[in-house]
Amino acid sequence: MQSRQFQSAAQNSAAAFALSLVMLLGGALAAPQFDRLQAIAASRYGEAGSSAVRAWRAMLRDAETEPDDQKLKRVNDFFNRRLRFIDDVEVWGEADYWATPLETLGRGAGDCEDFSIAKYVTLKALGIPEERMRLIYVRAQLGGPYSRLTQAHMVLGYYSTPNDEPVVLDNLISEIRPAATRTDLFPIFSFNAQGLWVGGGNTPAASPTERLSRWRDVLNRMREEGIE
Amino acid sequence: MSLIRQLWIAIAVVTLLAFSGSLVLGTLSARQYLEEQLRIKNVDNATSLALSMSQLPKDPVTVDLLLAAQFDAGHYEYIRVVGPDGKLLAARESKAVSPLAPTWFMALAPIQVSEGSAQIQDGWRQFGTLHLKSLSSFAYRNLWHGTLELLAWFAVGATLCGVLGTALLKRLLSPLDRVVDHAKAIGERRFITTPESTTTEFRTVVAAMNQLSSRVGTMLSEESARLEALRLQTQHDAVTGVLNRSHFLNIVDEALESEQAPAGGLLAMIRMPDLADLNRELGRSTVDAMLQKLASGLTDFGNSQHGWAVGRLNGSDFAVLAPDAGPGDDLPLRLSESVNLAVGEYMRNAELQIAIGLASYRRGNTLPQLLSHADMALSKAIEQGGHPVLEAVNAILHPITDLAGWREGLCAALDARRLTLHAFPVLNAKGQLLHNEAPVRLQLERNGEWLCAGEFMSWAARAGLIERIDLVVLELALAHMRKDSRPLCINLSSESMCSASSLSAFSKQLADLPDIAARLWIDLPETAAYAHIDAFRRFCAELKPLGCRIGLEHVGQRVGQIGELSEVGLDYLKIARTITRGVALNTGSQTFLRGLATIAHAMGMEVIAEGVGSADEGKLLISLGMDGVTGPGIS
Repeated sequence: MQSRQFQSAAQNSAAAFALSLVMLLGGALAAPQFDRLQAIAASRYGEAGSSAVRAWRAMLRDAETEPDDQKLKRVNDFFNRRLRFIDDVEVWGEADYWATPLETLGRGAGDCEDFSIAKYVTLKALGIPEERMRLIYVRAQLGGPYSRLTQAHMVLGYYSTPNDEPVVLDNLISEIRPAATRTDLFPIFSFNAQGLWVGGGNTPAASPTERLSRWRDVLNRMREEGIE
Repeated sequence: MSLIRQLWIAIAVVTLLAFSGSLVLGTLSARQYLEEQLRIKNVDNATSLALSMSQLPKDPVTVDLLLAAQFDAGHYEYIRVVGPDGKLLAARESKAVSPLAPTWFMALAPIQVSEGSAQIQDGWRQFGTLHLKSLSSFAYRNLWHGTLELLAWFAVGATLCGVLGTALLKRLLSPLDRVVDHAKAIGERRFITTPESTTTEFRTVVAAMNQLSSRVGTMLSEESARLEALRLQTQHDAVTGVLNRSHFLNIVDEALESEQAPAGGLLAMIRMPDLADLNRELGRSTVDAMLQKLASGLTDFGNSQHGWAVGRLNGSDFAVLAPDAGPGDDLPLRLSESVNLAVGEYMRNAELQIAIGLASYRRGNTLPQLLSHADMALSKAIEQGGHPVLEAVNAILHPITDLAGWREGLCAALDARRLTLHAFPVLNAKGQLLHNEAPVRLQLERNGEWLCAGEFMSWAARAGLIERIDLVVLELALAHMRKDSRPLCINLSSESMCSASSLSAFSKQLADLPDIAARLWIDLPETAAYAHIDAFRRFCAELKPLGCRIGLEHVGQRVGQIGELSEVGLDYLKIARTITRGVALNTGSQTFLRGLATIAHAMGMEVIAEGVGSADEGKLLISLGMDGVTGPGIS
């Protein structure tokens, strides 16, 4: 399925040209943007933050020319290895804080949605179409099939074709597996960034109501940091 | 364009800009708000419906039911579920809703809201994408109503602004009206001063105009003082201060000829013994003092009655002209007493003999005739020694001699409208008609003799009928001017000028006839203007705006005070015959007239010479600066 946004973009030849140009340059992030991100990371999080962004940049560069499944694996591994899985309260002092990739990398830690967002954004930057990706709320069954311990969790699903089941990029199990094999996860609801910027939503910072939604809020903050 | 109108336009423009600005901004921000709210509603409703659908069975009936429930209970333009392959799985669309706002308004301020969309999950699979859009007609209605409301406020506010602005402007500009009036007055050469305004800008202007007025006033009073000095020098005797021979004889001549002078009177001559002998006997300075005492005694005597004149005919001869006095009066006796009172001591000490001879006259007598009669009386008095002698040869013999008789006659004449206006032309320098001067004449009895103003006016004054006569004069003049398109000049009296009821009657009549009023000239006596200066100002202020012209007649005695008229804005002066007579031979008079014309012109007045005896005299007077001439030599 193609989204309305994609259709309208394709109809608009200038926009389509600009989009393909960005993709040719290797992802959505150009060098100056990275320099800026790095500068922000350095000023906010010190040397550790700066080096994390540097590593992220190197990973993006390396993954640029790889096939999609390799990109998925590289990105999944990058974040699963680099970030610690810590609750938001400990990292941010808030019960549920949705961090941008820069913030997550800067702290070197995050919870499930921070992992998923960072992966989503990175894959998008590597040219994976958004309609193939879903951020999926799942109920995770912890401690084996008979355990009654469950937890609210979020993973990133990748649909190679619209009608198939996705593969799951998770931080509980680092390996990318097809959804059917993840019997510990029960999907509840999914979403992506498609359809959010249609029409008048192109300049989200202008509208204070954007802040009301966590998802939009984090997307806006990413824009401010320079990640589209 | 007047300042008030310009300020009004400015206020209107500013108010319009302010309110239309707030109208547009208000509508736009309301529209933005509504769009924002609708967008959030779309997104949130899409998400919640998608969330519900994700949890429930995905058979077509359930999906359609959920869709229908949401659609039917809510306000939606459409709700669609599209599968991942782009296939439409279920949909509900509303029929076209009748618009709740005018279509032009919707076209002008369109509400554009993007749809909300959300993903529906079927386990791990994607079931589809939900798209929905809320109805915007309610938003339009709100926006339209809000705009109408703002418009109503705009109307109320603009009206309020207008009313307040008008009041404020009136308050602010009230000093300006006075400034404008002041400037207009100066433009009309009425050199008035007004109190300075409290507004700084106006105060400066008013101060400047006041300064101008006072400077002009000073200039005028200086000039008129100079003129007065000249008049004294040319018309008065240097030693005694009474009129000199030539001017006194001019006055006598005028009394014998003028229509407005009483029909007859007395001329008294007072003769001292030969001055050469007296000088030798008493010394020149004593004699001069004696002459002065006699002159001042005679002046006191002469001033007791309006219109009387005292002159010195030569070294030892004095004369008193008493128009309106008759042979029956006790004038000779009173004159004798006055003379005795003044110089009695000298008479006793020096055995001085002063002879008094009187002669009566009537209009139409000649000057030499009258003078010879007076001489005759004087000779008889000298022969008889001491007592005054009266030659009553030409005494006027009028049928009526008492006030009651005159009152009866005058009332009858007024009731029967036995009054008429005569006309004498007044020409300008080019010989064109300025106006016809129209003195009134009256018939006491039917088919009787037409009497000149001078014959009955003093009786009318005593009978209190002058105001009535003046009203009839105005009526006659207006009736005449309806038929005759030429300008007409009437003489009004001091009494009418001072009377409030007469004034309001005049202005009432003239207000209805602006084109006739514009051709009407009104003569007032010089003496009346100075004697009742406030009434005179009121008279001018009331009648001049109606279009008529007002001037003074018989001007000559009070030129020293002419500066006092600078605030009135008079139109013309008519110079008395006593000054213009014999001007060709009198260089003093020429100088005086030239000066008078200059001052009058500076004050914006025309100068007309009365009693011009010949065409040549008229030319001379024009060359001296007169703007018009009238008299027996002018036709």
